Amino acid sequence: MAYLPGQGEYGGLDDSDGEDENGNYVIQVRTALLEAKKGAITAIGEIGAHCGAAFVPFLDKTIPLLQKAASNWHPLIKTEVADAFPSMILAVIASEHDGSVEWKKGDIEAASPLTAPTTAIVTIVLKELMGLMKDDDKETAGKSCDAVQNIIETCGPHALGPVANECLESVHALLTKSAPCQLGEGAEEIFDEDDDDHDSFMTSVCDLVGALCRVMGHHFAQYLPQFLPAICAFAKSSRPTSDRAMAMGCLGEMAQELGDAVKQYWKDVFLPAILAGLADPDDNVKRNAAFCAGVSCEGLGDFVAGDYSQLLQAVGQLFGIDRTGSDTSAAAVDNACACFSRMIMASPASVPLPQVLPVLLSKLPLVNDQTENEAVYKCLLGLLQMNHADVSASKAEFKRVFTEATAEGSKVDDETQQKLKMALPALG
Amino acid sequence: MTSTLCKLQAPSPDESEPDDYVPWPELFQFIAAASQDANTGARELAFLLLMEMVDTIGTFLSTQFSQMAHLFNTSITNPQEDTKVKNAAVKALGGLMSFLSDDQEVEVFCNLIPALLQYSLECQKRNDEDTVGIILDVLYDLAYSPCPVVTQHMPAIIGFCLGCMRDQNLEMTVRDSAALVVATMSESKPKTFGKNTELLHGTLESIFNLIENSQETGAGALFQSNPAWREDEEGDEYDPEDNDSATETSMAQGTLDMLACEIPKKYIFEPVVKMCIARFSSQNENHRKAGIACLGVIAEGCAEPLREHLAEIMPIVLQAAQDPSAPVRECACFALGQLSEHCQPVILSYSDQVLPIAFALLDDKTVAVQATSCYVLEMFCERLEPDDVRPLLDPLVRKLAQMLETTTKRSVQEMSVAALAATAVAAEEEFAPYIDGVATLMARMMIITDEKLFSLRGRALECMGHMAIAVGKESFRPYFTQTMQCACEGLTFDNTELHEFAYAVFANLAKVMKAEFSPCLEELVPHLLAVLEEDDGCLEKQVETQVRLKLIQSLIFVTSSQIANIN
Repeated sequence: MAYLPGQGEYGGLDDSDGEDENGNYVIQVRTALLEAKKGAITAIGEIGAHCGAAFVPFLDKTIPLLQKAASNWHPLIKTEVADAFPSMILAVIASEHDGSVEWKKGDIEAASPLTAPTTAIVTIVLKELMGLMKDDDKETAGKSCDAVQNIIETCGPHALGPVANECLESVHALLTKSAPCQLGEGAEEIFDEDDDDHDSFMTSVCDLVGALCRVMGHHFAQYLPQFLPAICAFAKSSRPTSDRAMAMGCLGEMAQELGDAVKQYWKDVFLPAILAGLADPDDNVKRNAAFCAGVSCEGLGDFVAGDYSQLLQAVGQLFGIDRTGSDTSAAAVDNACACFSRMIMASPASVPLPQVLPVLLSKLPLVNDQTENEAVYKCLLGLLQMNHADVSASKAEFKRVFTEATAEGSKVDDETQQKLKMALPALG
Repeated sequence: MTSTLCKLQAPSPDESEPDDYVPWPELFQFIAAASQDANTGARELAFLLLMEMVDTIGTFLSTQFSQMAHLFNTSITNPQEDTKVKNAAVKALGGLMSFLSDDQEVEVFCNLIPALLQYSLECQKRNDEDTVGIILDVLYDLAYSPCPVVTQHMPAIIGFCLGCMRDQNLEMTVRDSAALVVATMSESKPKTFGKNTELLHGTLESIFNLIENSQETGAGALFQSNPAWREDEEGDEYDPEDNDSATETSMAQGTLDMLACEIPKKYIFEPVVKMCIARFSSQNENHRKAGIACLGVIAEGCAEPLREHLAEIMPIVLQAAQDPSAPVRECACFALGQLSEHCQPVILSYSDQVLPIAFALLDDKTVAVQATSCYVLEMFCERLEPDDVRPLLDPLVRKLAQMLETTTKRSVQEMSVAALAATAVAAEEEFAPYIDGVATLMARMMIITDEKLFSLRGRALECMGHMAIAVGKESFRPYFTQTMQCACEGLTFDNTELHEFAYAVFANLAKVMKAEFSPCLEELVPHLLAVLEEDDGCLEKQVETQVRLKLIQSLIFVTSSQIANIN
């Protein structure tokens, strides 16, 4: 339910024919119809996404109408169109590719996995979305970023290829607050970005950066000199909490997706950002910093071994957080566990296991962020397999953790549970 | 004089003239002379002429702006001048300011803002609402002006507007215009507004005073958003003609909502919350009402800092929900709903405290509290997991169904259907045992043909869609055909709201039924595409030059006759 109708740029418009104070524009609005039109677009989107091949015969008529609606003057319609576009592609993929496309990160040299009909629709839709990313409405630009992310993650680098440059330019403009939807904002006011609040649509922009890295792989590395400073600007301590958490999360995704391609930025960008993030007052920032630290170590291996003691100490601080406080504090501790696990696996020799292992085991199983189970149990099972000397000292704790993780109601996935069950007898 | 007027028909100056070219010098000389005339009527006419020609003057006579500003200033600040003349001067000055508001050249007139405000205060004192209204409209136009002089005078402008907002001798429409200026200033110059601590605190204090000194409900926003519900709220006093008018509280809350959304949180959050908490610890129930209502109002704009401080804020809201005073409970309920809507997902960790309280409030004696607690349940349950809702699921479904069957109030009917739908979404498959009972209830509402109850029909349809999402394809299959039929039948009525509900249910059913939905596409998709093609209005630039030409022509006619009257 929207609070207080009549507020906001368009909220005050009602079904009306009228003229503004200066008589310059004639505004004719049929608000109720706009809402109905929005509903119709939502329905078309869901039908496209879920009825799959049965919807394909209607695409020829639907696409041009959505294209026309993309230039509607009202953001309500434009955002809904941006939302519906990826569903059109899902319909084609259902009929052409049996529901999913197999693609390889950064591999644009190989033949495209997309069939001609898929490529045709993807091309039209992405071109339209490139336009919407440059819209002067933030919501529309944000939804378009979501849609582009959705499409390139489904279709891979060959879909992105033709629009890659334009997309990167738009994303960079949005990150540096110079896109059309950000211009004119407080133009007559003294510019002081430390006063800016978190803009929720920026999260979509950062998520798209992560997706671009995921799809482009090492091809993205050449753009890091432009993108890293833009993202790090949101991580400054003067920025609102959500901005800091968002920037830290984005750096984590980049490190995870780009692996050792971020090597040359480790010392000057990633490491300082991680250390600042781990010392941040907010648990969400800490959580993302711990994640970033773990995946960076995973991607960079021995290259960062020299920074291990500093990192272990900083991440170790997170184990002191009271995780009953909130979901966020529990997630921060869980991510610290995953970070330790990744660091151990990336360079076991650089971790003083007799000190680290008991701390790690004492906080397991994870209580909140179940996506990190894989990293944690891969490490524990790996140590067992290596028959590491320090494991035998902690056998009882290993047993407790494995037993709890395989107990009734455990949120650990079935596959991992099977492996843990198989390992249990050896623990005595 | 006639000869002067004839010269008005001189050809328009063209762009190739040098910059210092003064078109129609006689025109301005004539006006300047008239403004000094001993005859009051002539002086008034001078300004009326300027007012009538605002567009032309604004476009072509910029070289004479400073002389004109001098004329305005002399008139407005002259204590001996006749009110009629001053009002005419204000209208002309205001017209020029509005016309030039996007232009740097407005500066010379903006320097007159202090004099204008001084005069506005006099108008307000003698209750000259027309002039005050005109000035407020001008200030609204200036709010977005790039001219730095406007920013410089912003504290004085807002000070005047706050005075109007507080002035009970003024009509609500005028007071509401003043509130709009304050809100628009916060939108156009949020940082300057926020940094000025004194200005911000004064504004917030005025807003709180308006809410706590009025007896109106502080949770009215919920009811105002739906005019049909006001009947429930206002009973016999309900006047359908009157349902758009602002009240002191809605005006104050609307302004606060805007401030909370626009002004940087680092400036506004702390003072607002401090004021809320201070009010809440008062013995005066009206103060407590204001404190808790305002927490609800800022929930959208200050969602981020509120999420961070929820641990300190929730105990206050939960305590307010059990306040002995019904208006306070109602506002607490409203605040809970707002926080549930905007502070996701952090607020979910309070489910074990919020749900029983909202549940208990369903039994409240006041209709408003009942309906509002349904809103809380709706907002809250939408995001809950089955584990969270399980302990309350059975009593909740029974209670909501019973309310739905016994109440005659539309607000309670609609909100309880919405709450049932949200409960289903939270419970997921665990809702399956209830689907038959609830579907029977909905079936009655989905065939309502009384136009006044269409939103209830729509809500029922929506509930079916949400239950489908909750229980999935297998459990929903028995109800699929019937739901589709009712939705499609709704499309045959000329009622866009009902169409909207139908489209939403199509979306949800497609999601759930997947391939089983496909047989509907042949008929449905062409209909949906036709909706996309309908005309929803647009923004069109008028042919300006022609309009201006017509204005000049008619002006010559008007002025001739007016002058004839004077002489």
